[in-house]
Amino acid sequence: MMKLFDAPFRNRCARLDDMARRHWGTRLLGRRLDRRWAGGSEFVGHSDYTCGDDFRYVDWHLCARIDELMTRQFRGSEDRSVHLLVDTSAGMQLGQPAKFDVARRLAGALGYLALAGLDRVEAVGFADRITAQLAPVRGLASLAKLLRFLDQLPPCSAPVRMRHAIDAFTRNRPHRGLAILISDLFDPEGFEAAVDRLVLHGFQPYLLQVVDDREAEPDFAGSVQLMDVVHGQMRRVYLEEIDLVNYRRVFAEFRAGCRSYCARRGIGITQTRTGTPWEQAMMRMIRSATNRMVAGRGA
Amino acid sequence: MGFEHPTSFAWAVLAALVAALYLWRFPYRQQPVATFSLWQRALARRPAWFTLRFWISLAVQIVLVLLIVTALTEPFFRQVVASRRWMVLVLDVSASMAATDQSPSRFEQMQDQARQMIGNLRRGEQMVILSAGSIIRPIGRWGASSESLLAAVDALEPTDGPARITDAIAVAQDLLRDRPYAYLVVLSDGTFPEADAVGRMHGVRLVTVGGDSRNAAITGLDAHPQRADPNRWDVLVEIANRGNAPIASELHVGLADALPETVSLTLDRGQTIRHRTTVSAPQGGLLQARLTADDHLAADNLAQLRLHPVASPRVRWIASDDQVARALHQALQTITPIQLDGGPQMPERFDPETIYMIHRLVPQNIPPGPLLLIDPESSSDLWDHDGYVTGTDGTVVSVDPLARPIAGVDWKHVVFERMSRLRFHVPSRTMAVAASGDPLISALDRPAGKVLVLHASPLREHSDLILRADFARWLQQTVRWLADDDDPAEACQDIVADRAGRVWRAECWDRAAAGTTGDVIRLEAGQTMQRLDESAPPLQVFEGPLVALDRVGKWRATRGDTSPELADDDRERSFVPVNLLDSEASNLVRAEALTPDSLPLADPVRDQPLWMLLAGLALVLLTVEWCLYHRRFLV
Repeated sequence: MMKLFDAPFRNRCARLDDMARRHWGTRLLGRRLDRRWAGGSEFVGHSDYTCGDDFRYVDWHLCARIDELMTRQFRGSEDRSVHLLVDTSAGMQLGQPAKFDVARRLAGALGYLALAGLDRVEAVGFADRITAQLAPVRGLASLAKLLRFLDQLPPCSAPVRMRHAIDAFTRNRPHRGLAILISDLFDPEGFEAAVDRLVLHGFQPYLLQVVDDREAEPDFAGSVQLMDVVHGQMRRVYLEEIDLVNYRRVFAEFRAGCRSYCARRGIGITQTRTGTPWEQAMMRMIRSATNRMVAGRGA
Repeated sequence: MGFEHPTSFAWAVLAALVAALYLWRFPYRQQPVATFSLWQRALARRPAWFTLRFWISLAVQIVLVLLIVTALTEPFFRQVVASRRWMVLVLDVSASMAATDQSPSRFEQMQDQARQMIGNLRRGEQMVILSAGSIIRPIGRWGASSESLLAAVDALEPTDGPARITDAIAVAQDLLRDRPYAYLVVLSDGTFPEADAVGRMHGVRLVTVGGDSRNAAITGLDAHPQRADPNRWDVLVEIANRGNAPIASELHVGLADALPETVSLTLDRGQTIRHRTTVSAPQGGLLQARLTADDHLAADNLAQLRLHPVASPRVRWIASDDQVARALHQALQTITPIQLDGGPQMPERFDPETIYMIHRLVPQNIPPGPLLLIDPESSSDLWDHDGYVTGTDGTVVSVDPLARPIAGVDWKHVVFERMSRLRFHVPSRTMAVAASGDPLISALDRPAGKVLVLHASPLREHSDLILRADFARWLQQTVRWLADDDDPAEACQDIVADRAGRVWRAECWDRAAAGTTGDVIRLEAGQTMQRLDESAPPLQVFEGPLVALDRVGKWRATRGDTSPELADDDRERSFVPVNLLDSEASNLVRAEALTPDSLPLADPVRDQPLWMLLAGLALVLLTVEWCLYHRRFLV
């Protein structure tokens, strides 16, 4: 019996899948349509023959009618891999509900969509290293395995060091594909280096930032002993309203910095809070991906 | 700056409580966070002065509490107003102000303070001075110049009576009614009985002079002739210590021209001693009681009393009727001292020094000397006999209350069935009138001597006069009147000032017209009173319907009625006082509960309440503190 992924969760995932299909077709997360016109199985049109085109795709019947060499263009589905990287560091244990739980639910939902789309799904837990991983699975029949893995994914008390973990992840990873990084991105060394490593190794990263409501809008003031759960450090401070306001500003700047970075890199990002229902976060993610897809078509 | 409720400052301990709570180290709540980095960046954005934020906030809150506490005390700022003052200065001119415990005296010290107040008057300010003794005299009026006020103060002198300060305050309050910035200042030594109440009176500032003093006082002197020997007088002297300390003194009592009796006395504070003695004064004289103590008030160390010599007139009755002779003899025997003689025959020669009481017989020529003629049966050189009035017309219907021979005698319902009707040749004064309108008792005004005529027959078949008890009294008063002498028992009634009872005494003839009320003598219109005091240069004259005496001395009252039928003696009477008018005037001890006050008088002020300002300031501080705390305008 899994605590996080009960039957209603799967039903909601099914509804999300239906909605995602209406938006994306069978593709996950609205990633850019592959321009490999000749490599697919779905006919999408003709184009002039150019040097180098495979003669097998020349539409001789059309040539006979119009007396020009035209090649058939296909858009084909590819055996794609979706890597779900879930942050299991100590910082993810905070929150009501815990960011870790929210991250696992989102990973489960994304895994459902990916498996329903016949993608290969691999789940990885990381902190300062790869703490747990699930071998790639395919098909909804493997959903239970994926969800069981996520449900039993152990939290790690180690601080997050995303770059080290990503380095370990990309090593000996034959299947490139979509790498969905689910974390709060509170890496003291910065998450950018890790994302860059993913891009460098041919992965298509997507960031799903999960933060707690009280991290975004802290409401505690007065005599407070701040405890860094990652490093175990303590700091006594008398927080006043000005400090809270400054923190909110800093936090907003941090989140804006994340979005700015992703925008510069053309990387998708979805930011959500623990207080936000995971379905809503997924809906927002689907909508933002659809917009990106439409924008990509226009381009 | 003052405070309405200074006790509310006790709430200032709340500031300490606030400080203690502020400095109290509350336990830190542990708050786990995923990363310090964001908090470090947020805390790094604190302004540089933020390190003092804690102490600034503490200071602001303490000031806030203190402001509220101060506002609770309702402070006010006494603002000097450039408006004119209206002042009434009540000066105590009672006898105690003459005390010399202050140099040179309490009175002169009070005068100096009054001069100082007058000198402090600013342009346009008004002052009225009330002299408060037995009489309340306004000195000056609104608008009087400072020079005239100073002159009035200089002319004042202490009286011999008590001070009616409360009455003076009532007068002053009437004067100050509806006046803005009104001031009522009482300059006194605070020895009057109501001093405590006056000291607590709202709107009255009592400025006191004087200090600890010694005073032995003669508070009472009275003398009465002995019944057995009218030449000897029983004298009662009351001595009291009216100072702050015990005092020893010698008391001399005796006639002014004789060797006095000396008694050594020691009086504790507040003690009163009554000394009785006997003085022989066959010729009368001035009785003196004198204290030799070196105290601070000399006026009450000497008391004087005039002793009238008790006359022993010779009286001879002449009556042929045994009934009348016996009645006259028995009635006249009760009068002491008197030399009584009588018989049925007229003497060959009349002694002008002897009082003759003649029944029915009438000499052809009325002899000189005092005479009482009862029911004259014939004419003489002074009247013509015009028959008799008989029947009920002889009933007495009215009497002259001022006539001393018949004053106090009950003539009501006295019946005279036969009455001689006389026509006088000389001026006469009718003292009693019969129902027929004819004179019943007449007094003849002649230089040779007084003549009193009873027109009616006293025989029992004609009248019930000799059966009445007042017959003897009438004869007694008639003898006194004819002998020109008063009742020795009432000899002291011509003392104006009575030390013991605050009662003014007047002459018997004057009592009806000049009734005494307290220390005020009412006089008829036209009467005057003069103070005849050789030692006092000014001769004070009082005129008008209401006169009060506040000086001890020899006084003379004269009647405005100058009708020729009045004897000189009736027109003018003299009074001899004791020393002070009231025993309370000797008191030099200030009321204990009285708080001494001093000059100068404060400027006119207006109390401006400050609590609203403080509350507003506290509100501003609260807003500042709130903004500092929440950084609404800093962030």
